[in-house]
Amino acid sequence: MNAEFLSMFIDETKEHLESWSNGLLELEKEYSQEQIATIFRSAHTIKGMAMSMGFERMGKVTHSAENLLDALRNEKIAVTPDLIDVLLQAVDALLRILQCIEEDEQEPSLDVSELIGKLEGYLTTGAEPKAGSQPKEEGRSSSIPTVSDYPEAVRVSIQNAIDNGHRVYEADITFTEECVMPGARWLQICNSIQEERIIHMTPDESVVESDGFDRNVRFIFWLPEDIESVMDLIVGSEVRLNHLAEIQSTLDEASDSPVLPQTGHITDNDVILKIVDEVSNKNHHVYEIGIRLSAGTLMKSARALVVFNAIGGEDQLIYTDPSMLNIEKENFGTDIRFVVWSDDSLDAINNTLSDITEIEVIEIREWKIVNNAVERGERFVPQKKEKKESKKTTSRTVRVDIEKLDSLMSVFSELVIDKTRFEKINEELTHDGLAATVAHMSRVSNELQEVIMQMRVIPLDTIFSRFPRMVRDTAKKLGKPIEFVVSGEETELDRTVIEEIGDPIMHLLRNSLDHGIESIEKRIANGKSETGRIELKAYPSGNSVYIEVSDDGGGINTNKVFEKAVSKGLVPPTANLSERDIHQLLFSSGFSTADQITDLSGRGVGLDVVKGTVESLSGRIEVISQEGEGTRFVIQLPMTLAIMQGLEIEVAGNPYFIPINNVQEIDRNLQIQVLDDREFVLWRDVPIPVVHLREVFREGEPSADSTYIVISNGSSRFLAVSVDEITGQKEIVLKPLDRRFRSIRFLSGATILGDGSVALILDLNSLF
Amino acid sequence: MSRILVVDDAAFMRMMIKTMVEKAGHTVVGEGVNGADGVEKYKSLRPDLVTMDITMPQKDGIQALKEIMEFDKSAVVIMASAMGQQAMVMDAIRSGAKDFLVKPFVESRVLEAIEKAVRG
Repeated sequence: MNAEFLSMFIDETKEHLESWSNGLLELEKEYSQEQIATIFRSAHTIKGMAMSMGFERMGKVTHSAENLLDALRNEKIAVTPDLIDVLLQAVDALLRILQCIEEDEQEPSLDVSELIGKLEGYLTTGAEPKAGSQPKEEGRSSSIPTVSDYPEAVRVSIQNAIDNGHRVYEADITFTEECVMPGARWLQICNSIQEERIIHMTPDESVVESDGFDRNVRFIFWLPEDIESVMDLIVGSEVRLNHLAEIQSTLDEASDSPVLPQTGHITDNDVILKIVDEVSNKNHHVYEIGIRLSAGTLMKSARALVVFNAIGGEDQLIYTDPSMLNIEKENFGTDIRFVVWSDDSLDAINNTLSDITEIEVIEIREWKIVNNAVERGERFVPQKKEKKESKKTTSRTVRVDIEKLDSLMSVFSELVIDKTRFEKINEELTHDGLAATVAHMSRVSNELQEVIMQMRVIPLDTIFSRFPRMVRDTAKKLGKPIEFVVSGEETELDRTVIEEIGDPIMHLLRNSLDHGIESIEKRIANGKSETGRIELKAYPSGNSVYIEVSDDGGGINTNKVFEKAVSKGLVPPTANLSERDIHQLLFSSGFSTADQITDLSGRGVGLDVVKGTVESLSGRIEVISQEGEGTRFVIQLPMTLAIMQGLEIEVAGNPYFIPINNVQEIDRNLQIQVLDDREFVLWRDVPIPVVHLREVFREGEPSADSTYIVISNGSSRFLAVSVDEITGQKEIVLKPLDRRFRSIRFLSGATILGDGSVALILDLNSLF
Repeated sequence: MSRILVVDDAAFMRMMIKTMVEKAGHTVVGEGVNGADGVEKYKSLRPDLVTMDITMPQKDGIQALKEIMEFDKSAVVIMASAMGQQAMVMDAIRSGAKDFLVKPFVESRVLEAIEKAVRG
């Protein structure tokens, strides 16, 4: 099999499965025709691809799912949690199959018959009408009426109501034997619906009011809200509902359905006939054109004007629907139908129109006079414009193996080291040409670095997108309603970091779900809303990217954590710890136990592992919690790993580097003070603990006179680090330490200096 | 690729449009800091396309547009408008503006408008 096809198939299928699964989650939150249509398209596309690749199981599963989605799209079945479940199961199965395909390049012998049975069974048995729009009345129409089923005058009114965001219903009622005055009863119904909302009725109103009818009324009306609120008013012992259905806009179903009516004959209205005749006699063409404004178009009236101007101006307009007045008042939906005269050919008109932004040409037809009547000519459906808004724009991309990117990075790192050497040589020699070349080389290398970084970063969306599903399933299992809010998924990070950070985030989310958010009863008792809120947020700041997981749950019970830490022997019972210090205990490995105590939020299970992963990525993690109000975990990660700016320092004659984004300030004049045997400096009026690097490296007592204080920043706390000497700032290439040295704390790696010597890179996070 | 004149009294907006269009390979040949300046720059630079803010001191964008159209009836002018300016935008279109953009600008929309306006 062609490997290129296969990898394209896998990638695209993954994309569609993701949009399918995300779409379902959205749908569960809020009913949306558009969402259903999107999911349907995804399933349909997957089916087509799977079939053409010969993946039969995949094809069968998607086929069954597609049938179900089709029923959903046509509102034959309702959105229920069960339905979402079964469709998500289909996604899961497809993902499993896809994974096997990815590994073995062939479909696994997975039994999908049970799933298919479920999908198909749902369609035959589990079908429930969509709540509200189709009550379980006898005689419920099996097919969904659409706008085009009605006569033109009625159709226009229906379409207008739909365009204005209303829902339009068709009802068929019978006044029962019990009803003595059907005419009066009808008036009452009119009042409850509001008479002006009744678009059409048979028999005529006057007939009904005079009681001169067979007690059956069929009427079409619109409502600004769901029908449920009105149903009770209509149906009663005197009124039986035979049939009720919501009328669907034909336009929303598929974008290629015509805006223009189908019939050839238009009118024999003398006035129009005369106008068309006159215009035709002057050798002009008369065109009827349907356009649709893109979703989200701003200033629709102005946009319409652009269209009219492009084909000759308002003077050439013969007719518009909606009326010109309504267009100017912006009193219309997305579609405009208009008739113009023009000297241009049909093709030329189409070309002109397709050069207008934010519109789509739906249809163009020429009007001709045949036998003293105006007739529509051939339907000219222009080629569909490329949809600019479509989510997946076909970008000009080249797929590159990740390994190649990694090796590009490592080769470039070598180049940066050489560049540093050149800079050093340049300092020693005086040569104009060399100086200029080195300066240029530095600039180019910076640009090159930028480009490579751009190639290496991917948006966090790639991992964030799988969390809504996980949160939903877990929340459902735990019986806790959860509002899950994700933001900043467009934030970019080095791909190697992204690969690693998914699990820790997952872990934190699980923690929040399981232990952070309280049970419904407890929440109500504490005066909180039933629905817990969990937020996942990412944002860049400086050279770092922050990822926060927060919940509005019970928070951390400081006393219990302290007690437990004491019982685990992590801290002496006499220790005087701040609340913040106690919170940090959750990350200590000794704290992690299997017997989790849920009423203390149970946090601590595996948090040491989370911390370990984050730190191995040169990041750090903090927890901020307010008892009773919630907990927030903040992960800080460096945007890029391999190349960074470093502050070059000296301790006992040896060079070291501190990553520059860890440095807040350097100060030589800060006085070290002692309180309770602890050393601190007052920096911006805040006491900050002091660490002497000489002591850390066991290089003897710090020499008081030549000491610099480097203020290092955690995400919300600071550390004052005393060093002997500050020697400069350099671009450094981080080389990981050999496995044997990895266990040494304080060090995140090493770098090669301009003169070829090696300097260690400090990991100040570990000193906090 | 097109030679573009950006007329806006806010330097920030000019810079924003400039960044967007230059990224796509167009050249910003001049910047007008108000309507009058815009008209003058148009006459001397003869750009392929103008982006014209509406609300500006010393001759608003509509007036500047009218003068530019009078000077060169094949001028390609795209109006840069903000929400609530529909009436003015319609006035501009009747006066010959080829397209309009609504702030905040979306890069893809800006580039699409330029591409199509120049072609059309």
